[in-house]
Amino acid sequence: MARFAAGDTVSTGVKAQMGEDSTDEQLVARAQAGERIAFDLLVRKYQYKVVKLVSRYVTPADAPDVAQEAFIKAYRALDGFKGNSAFYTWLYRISINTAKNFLVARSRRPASQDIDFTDAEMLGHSDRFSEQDTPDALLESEEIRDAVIATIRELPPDLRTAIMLRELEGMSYEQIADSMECPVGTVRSRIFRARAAIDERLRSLSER
Amino acid sequence: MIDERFSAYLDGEASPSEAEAVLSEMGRDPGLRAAWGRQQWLRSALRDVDTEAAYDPGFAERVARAIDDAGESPARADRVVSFPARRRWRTAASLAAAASVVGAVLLVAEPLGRDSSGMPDAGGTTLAGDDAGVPAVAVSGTPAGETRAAVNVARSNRAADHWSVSDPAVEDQLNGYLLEHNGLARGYGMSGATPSFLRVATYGQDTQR
Repeated sequence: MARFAAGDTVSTGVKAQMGEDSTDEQLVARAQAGERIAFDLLVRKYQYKVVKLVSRYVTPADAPDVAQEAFIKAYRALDGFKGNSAFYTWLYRISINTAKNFLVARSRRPASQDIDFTDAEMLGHSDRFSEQDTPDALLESEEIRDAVIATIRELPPDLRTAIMLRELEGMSYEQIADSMECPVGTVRSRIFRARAAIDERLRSLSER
Repeated sequence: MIDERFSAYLDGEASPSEAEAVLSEMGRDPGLRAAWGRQQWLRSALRDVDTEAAYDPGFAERVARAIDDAGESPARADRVVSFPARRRWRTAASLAAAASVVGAVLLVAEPLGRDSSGMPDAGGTTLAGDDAGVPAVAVSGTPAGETRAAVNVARSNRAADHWSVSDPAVEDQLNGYLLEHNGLARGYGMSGATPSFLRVATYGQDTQR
């Protein structure tokens, strides 16, 4: 495991959001250079935000498909992203437009073409509805969230404080170090250890 | 298995050399990419507590498959999605309007958010307090199922934080503006910077569930 060395960070004096934005810039640059993995990481990073965003416009059942379409559009347009705004701001606009276009397209479709879930099951076309809803693909979010919170509660206080200040409050490592009156390297270590414990729990849940 | 560099990279706190190493490892290790996805879900679930962030580990694979199936590649010029300047102007105008509404709300709501000492209520996010400064939202000893209520303790326990006017229709409309503003703020990555007083924007959501 790599050890944290003093002076080896670049953003300890910068707001956490700026650090995350610089991560995005790096991933976008790599994706624009053709690294599919970099775009994959951006998808994984923003999928929940985008699904939540488009859910304001479309039904929860349609939201994942609309979000997927938004990411595909973003991928197609990626070379046109010049970094004049944050990546998520750009993605946000694409997502909103995709959702609105979806609604327009749906409004043009005759009502008779809409198939409800029961009909689809009877017709054997339930796949399009169920891909995200099968137990193997989609775990009960509440159950997972509860398990994660329980794991956080069981953490030693210092680890719990560090991870919550980071994840819930969005504070930078330096800000956390100030509030906890400890070195930034200690904060970094605590956050990692907390995160490793939580990830272990999450991983075990997702592999059930 | 995640390591400290991965964790720092996730937070935008890794050095360039560390970031390079982590990205390289993620390129080789699907398990590490899955861990990246899990941590993003965790972040979303903890920060956007009013949202059902459905855990969906297969989403990115579906997007990748769809891109492959369509033979997509990033961007030729004729396919670039562009946003006309007037839309930017409209977006800016919308944000300005939302900001002005919030400003007006603050002028009126500020006295409601102060305790007897005259200090704004921290909404459960005090940094220096019991249990080594853990925010109340993080360590209240609630059963797992009550977590959301604990996280939202500030808004759910203090009716005085809620916008209240004599006309229910006007009240609903104002809270609608606040909800929209809150969504926009989070949408623009400002969730961590959103002051606690904006939690009034969740007014009414508890009772709608």
